[in-house]
Amino acid sequence: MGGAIHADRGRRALLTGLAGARAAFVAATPVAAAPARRGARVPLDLSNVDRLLDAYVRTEGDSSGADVFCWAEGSIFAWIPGVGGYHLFDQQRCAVRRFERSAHGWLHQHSDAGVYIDKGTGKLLELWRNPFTGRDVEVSQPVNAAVSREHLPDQQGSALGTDYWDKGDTVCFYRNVFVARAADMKIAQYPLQSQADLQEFGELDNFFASRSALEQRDATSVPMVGCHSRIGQWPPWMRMGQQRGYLIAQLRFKKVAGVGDLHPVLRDYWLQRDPSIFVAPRGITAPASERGEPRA
Amino acid sequence: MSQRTPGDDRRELLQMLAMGAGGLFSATPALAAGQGTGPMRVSGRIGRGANTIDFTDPSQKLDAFIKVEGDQSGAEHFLYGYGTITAYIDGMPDRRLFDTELYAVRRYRRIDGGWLRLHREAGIYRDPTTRAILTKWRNPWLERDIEPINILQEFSRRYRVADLGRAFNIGVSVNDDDVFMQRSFFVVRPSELNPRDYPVHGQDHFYGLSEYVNFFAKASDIVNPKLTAAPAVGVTNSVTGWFPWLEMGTAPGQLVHQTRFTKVASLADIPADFVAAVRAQDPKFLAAPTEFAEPDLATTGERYYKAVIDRRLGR
Repeated sequence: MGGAIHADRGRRALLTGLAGARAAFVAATPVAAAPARRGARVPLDLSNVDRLLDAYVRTEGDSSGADVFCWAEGSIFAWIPGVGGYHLFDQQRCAVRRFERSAHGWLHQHSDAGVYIDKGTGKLLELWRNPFTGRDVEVSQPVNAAVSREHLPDQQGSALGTDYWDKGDTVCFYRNVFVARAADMKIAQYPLQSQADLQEFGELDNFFASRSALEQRDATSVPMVGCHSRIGQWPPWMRMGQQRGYLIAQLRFKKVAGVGDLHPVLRDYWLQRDPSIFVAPRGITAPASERGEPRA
Repeated sequence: MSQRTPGDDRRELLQMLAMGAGGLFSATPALAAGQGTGPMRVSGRIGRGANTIDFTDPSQKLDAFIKVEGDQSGAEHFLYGYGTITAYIDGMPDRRLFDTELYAVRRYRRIDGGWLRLHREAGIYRDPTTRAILTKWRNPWLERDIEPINILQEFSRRYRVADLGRAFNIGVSVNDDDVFMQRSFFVVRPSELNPRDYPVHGQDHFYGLSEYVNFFAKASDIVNPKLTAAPAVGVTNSVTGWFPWLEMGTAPGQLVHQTRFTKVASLADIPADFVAAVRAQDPKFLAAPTEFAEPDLATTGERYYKAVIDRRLGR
């Protein structure tokens, strides 16, 4: 992976950065309306696609090119139409992302990782009793080590575009991505791990910011809270076979200053295993399928 | 590290298939499906001194939820939002069908042991590109125009402190000045439009809904004694079967709904064409109920759909 960081060097850098990062965050302004400085306010025109993308970048990330961390937590449910819904376990999640200008838009690079936790105790789930099969399964913690995409003005109006909704001081950027593609794990070879030969999922994201915060001319990053919703098939590690139903994730998130502001269970787990996920990737990597590697 | 072999996998698969659908769920009585989920972990105490809220106290948590989701003063108030509806069909590409615009008008009243919510909702559908209100929608699978049935619902309910953690749950997370509240619930009940009696409009003998509602507010607003309503934004995500008016019959598929919303002061903050459409259908839905109606007498979306479809069918 381009820009890979040596694990030990990365871990030391992260740990020494924690104290400074927290001090900087305490001085940040909340999502609610921020007091305007005289002469520093530029009206927000979201009908202009370049300004829309700029505002979106400052909401989800930082237009200066700095790494931005996101804290997230939520719950994971099973929904089986005609049968019912079940709260299975919870999740802690983090993301680090970086935006930089490209020739025609913005390059967005991020890594994200999570841990599943017991919904009652809050402890890391490493072995989970699957109530639908009656068996213990080893839990595979979620990670997306390097994700890159380019946001381009001519994507507006397509499924790749960024939509927005605003009312009063509230601006919400949202994105719905639905995927249907040939599964890497076919039922014939993976009867327990694969629900279908077509992998399908939908991810719906909402990012809320304050219009008055976005109108601060010098604000390369504004406070943000949001919500991630995912509907998809059973993950392979649940060993559900072709049982009907959907796994639904509901996560809420916000920007935070750095690794020190993440959940301790998640932070400790990934600092041990792969601290490089706490640094936004540099350089674009091809999708796993084009590198000849199976997707997780 | 796992020491499983392919033979272990095959034996496990055969055993699972032999259990059958009934056995899978009868083996898990602890996972009774229905209203509410939980427990959802609660975190945090916010504020200081006399203005402190402890979310582990059910009464304080419920009062705070009412302040975030509504208004403790009893005043009429509105939630207004805009969303998308996508068809999600196993084995087929997904399709964004249309947008939806919704508002809820309600008032809360404190009662012994909790709160009454007197609530009405209205919703319309819009073209995702032109944002025009849909009076006709082209069903891409049937290749014919369908007349949408807008959303009109009235369902008041009681929120009792004693029911928290049983009939309903409120999850709360706190991160500095940000407070996140969530509710999730699942409904599986006999359908008002079963496919035997409504072959064009009924998808299944069971109506199903899974819904997840998220609220975002500031701790400093929630503990502020001068506020009876905290500024809040939110997102509702839900998964249902086909709307009956889509005329999809028993074709497989789900609808994925997502709506982002905020509090607004009055109807003047809601687009005029939306308000006019509701006024033309039933002006009762421009205001919150003044009296509580027991849930089994209330109008639900499905019952309203049935009433309209029965009229269209001449029943």
